[in-house]
Amino acid sequence: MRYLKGYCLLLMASLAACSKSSTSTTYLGNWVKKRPQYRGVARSNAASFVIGNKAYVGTGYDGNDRLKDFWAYDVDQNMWTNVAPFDGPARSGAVGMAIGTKGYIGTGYDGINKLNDFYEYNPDANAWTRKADFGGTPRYGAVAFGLKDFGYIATGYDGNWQVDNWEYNPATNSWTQAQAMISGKRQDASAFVIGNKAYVCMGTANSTFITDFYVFDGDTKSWATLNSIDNVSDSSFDDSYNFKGSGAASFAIGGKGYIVSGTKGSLSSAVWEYNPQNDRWTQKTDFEGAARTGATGFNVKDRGFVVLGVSNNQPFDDMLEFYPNAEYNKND
Amino acid sequence: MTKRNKIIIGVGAALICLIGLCWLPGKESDDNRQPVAQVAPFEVDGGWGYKIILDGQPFIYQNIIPGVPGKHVFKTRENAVKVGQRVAEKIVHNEMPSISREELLAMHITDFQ
Repeated sequence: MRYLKGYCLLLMASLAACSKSSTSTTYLGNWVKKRPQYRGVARSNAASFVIGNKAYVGTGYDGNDRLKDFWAYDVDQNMWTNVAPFDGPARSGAVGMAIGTKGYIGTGYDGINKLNDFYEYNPDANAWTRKADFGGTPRYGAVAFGLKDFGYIATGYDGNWQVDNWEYNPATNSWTQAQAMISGKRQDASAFVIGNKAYVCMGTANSTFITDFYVFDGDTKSWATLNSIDNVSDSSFDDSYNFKGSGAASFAIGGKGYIVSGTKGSLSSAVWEYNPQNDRWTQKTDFEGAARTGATGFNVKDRGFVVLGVSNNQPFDDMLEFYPNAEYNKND
Repeated sequence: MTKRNKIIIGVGAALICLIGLCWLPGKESDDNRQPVAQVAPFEVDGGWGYKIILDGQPFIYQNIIPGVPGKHVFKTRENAVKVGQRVAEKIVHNEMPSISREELLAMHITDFQ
């Protein structure tokens, strides 16, 4: 019987080792899975832009092929419409932004070549038009953002990691080199826009996650340095900052920015909220879908969504909406 | 080692394995289930479009012909249903539900030309 006692102790020890969730911290925010869930549009490294009440999502990589189909998601109807396919070669790692009432997609990787072509989508005509090639070197893994009447493509990988920033003027269909990001060459960074400012963080270069964090002001057309997203200061505010990584999804709602999932060495479900008022980050409820990289985040009518992405070569198609100030409910 | 001890070790190991299995993150049971997709044609802009109802919920709203530029509608209800059924088939087989110009032409759909 003394052996039995030993085995019972062993069993209890293994039970204790397995029960992990009871002591974990809970954070604010609720993820809601949009129904119906369907895996058919599954892909990673898609590109997107938002016009009115619709998010346009397309291109990307399904694990076998690079894609050129494009879909419009209507947040009011919670329905997708298959729109005109992207007019350029199929690709992944492209970037997209909206300027005014038109959408733009450019750069990326077709499986062989890094790309610098650039296209405009007109939702009223449901038609694509090729525009002036991106002014920088052909690349993938850049970030893009629209501020007022201009669009910007910055950073990315062209064979080397880049820190440059290019401005597109749709009125003249031309590119101008804008002020480069101050430092922190990178690819697969995350960007979100609040007001007339674009925030760029995360990303990777030389197998190192980049922790520099910058904001680009669309009025002054210049970058400013924000607090690093790592625990590097002597103050305590950043003691918990542990979310440096790449391939995260991002969006901005309610005047705050959100960084979701991505890879931090291994895949992460972590969600962090950025408050531009005090330049501070707060951890929120973990992403409720599978942890993933190459997902697409977008905000439409001040609602934030994360779609698509990939984990262990399994591309996802599911879509989740985040309610940052709601209590977490795992059953919705 | 006595026979009794072997039995205890065996039972203990089996219990631990069982508990371990129960602790694995539950994979969503409906992951590999075949979805039910229905086509619902509707009149729009003097022609026809379709909705795809997936597991009882509207999922695709196609008020324009998919896969081609421009805002074209299907000229007949039959054409809308034909393309909608092709999309529904793809969904049931877990294929990409996108339609290309080539697929439209193969189905003799020329309403956009």
